[in-house]
Amino acid sequence: MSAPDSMEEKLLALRQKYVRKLPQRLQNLYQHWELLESKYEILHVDKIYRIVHQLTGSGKTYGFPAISETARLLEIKFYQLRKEKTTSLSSEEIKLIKEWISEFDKACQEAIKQCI
Amino acid sequence: MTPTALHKILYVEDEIDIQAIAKLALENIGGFEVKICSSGQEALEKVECFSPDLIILDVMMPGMDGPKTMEELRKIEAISTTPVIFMTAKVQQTEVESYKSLGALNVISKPFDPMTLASTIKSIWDTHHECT
Repeated sequence: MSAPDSMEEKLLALRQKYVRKLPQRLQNLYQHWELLESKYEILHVDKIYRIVHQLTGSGKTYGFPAISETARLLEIKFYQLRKEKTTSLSSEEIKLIKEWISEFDKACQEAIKQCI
Repeated sequence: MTPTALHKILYVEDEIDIQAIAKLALENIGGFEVKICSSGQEALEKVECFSPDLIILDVMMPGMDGPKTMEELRKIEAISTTPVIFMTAKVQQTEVESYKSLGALNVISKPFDPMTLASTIKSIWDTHHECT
């Protein structure tokens, strides 16, 4: 076992590295969402699912539970869209997804504020 | 009877953020020797050379997923009985049981606590060896 300080320092360095990548991930999410909103294509559903699936697993692991919780809502929705082979989104679905993206964005911004 | 010691862990995970924190936790806290593979295919190529005591497989990976990787690893004679633990974000009990029915020791859920990951794995390992 190593000294706790050393472990904490290494964890902090990893957390900072993780947080620095969040803006790019958010940008990718928004980019695919905008394209999906303009024209429903499974490619964008898959891309968004992949982004939020990864962040669901990693957010809380890195000490940011709100990232996992908000990404999880999107993950479940986009998992369903893939599974059900949906071909369009209703206006209610679009509204809900936008709300969840906004919550997810807030969680990411909070993590960035904490670490940088 | 001396319990079988756990030293070498092969961890198959495609996501680099999870790779990094799991490696840190398992090496620094657990004191294990850890080799990371980013895909099932890479694991198949490197597993014999590394000769792990335990394999941890992410369930959802692009290309070959965790269960398929386990199936392929089992075809390698030297690895045919090496214990496997799955890691997944899906933690419904039916899914856990289905992975166990494939021969996995247990399933660890993601997100995980990096401070307790090593002890969780050690506990699963010890339970397995008490039962065998």
